[in-house]
Amino acid sequence: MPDEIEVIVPEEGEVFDVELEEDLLEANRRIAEENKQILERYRVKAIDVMGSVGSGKTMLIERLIELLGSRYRIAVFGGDVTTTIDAERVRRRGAKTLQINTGKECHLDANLVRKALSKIDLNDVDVLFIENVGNLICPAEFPLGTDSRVVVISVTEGPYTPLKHPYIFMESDVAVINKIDLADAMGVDVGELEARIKKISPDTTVVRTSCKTGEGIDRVARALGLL
Amino acid sequence: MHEFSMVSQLVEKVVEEARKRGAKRVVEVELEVGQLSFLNPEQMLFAYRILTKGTILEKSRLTIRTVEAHVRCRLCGFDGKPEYADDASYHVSAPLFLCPNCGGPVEVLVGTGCIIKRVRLEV
Repeated sequence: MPDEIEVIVPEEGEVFDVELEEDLLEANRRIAEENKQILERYRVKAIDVMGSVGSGKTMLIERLIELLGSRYRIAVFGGDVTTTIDAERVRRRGAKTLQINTGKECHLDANLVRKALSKIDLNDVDVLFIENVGNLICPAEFPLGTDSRVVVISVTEGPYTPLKHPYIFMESDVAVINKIDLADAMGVDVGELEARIKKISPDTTVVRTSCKTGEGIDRVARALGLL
Repeated sequence: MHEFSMVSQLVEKVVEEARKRGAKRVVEVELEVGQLSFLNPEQMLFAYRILTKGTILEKSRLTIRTVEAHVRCRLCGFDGKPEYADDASYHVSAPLFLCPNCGGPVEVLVGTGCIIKRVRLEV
């Protein structure tokens, strides 16, 4: 008879440490990577549209649908805390629309987008705009798995937005400076604003627009590779 | 700003881990939060107190270590801490993401994570 193998088990009341090394943001990045693969499989070009409240995210999407609607089949996910006002606006432009209400959350995350992706037929979609919750802070930390990320700011927010929220610009492929028709009234130097963005994030393409007049919308489409 | 959802993820993870190891209760959770993440330790502690109620983590201690940011300049190669701007109009001292040495753009090497390093369990 061999000796019994001694098994060491913690005794009642004993305390021990477990090394976890679990990155809580990594979980989102993993799902984002999966979203990216799903979108690639269906050849859907997805664009995360971020920016502060009232900067013109919805209107930019409306204008892009106007410009590109005959060329692509466009769908829009509208991320909002509670209402469907923005989603309604976009739907009236003829795009397939799905509302994602975050409830209390200040940003969309990859998991919410994953759920939304399962609710539409991706075979019918060429371009997907995902309008994030109006916020310049949190969305930067949560990639969704899109091809590109756009940040929309407007001259009415004043000249310092890029300095106050540098991270979101570093994360964005395209930065849109909207409401340039109001620059004089606001006393904001658009060139200076653009230079501040370029200094923080030289690889980000900066486009000046007025979604109200339609100026610059074609340049946004080109910067996103849609024209 | 998203402290609540991060902490609720943390609680879920730790409950799962504790259950897997047959723990009776969780004594302590050690968390590392990058200086450049948008997470405020004080708000995380507040959320922790609320979210752990009625769980195996109740009355455990959350220890948060802030990990200093580390950036590298894309122009001159400067390697070190980012510069911060203290302006009355900022809510917090904001990182500039511009090289303290040459003013060029920097990339972030360390300082954006939120990592559960260790949990202390009682069996």
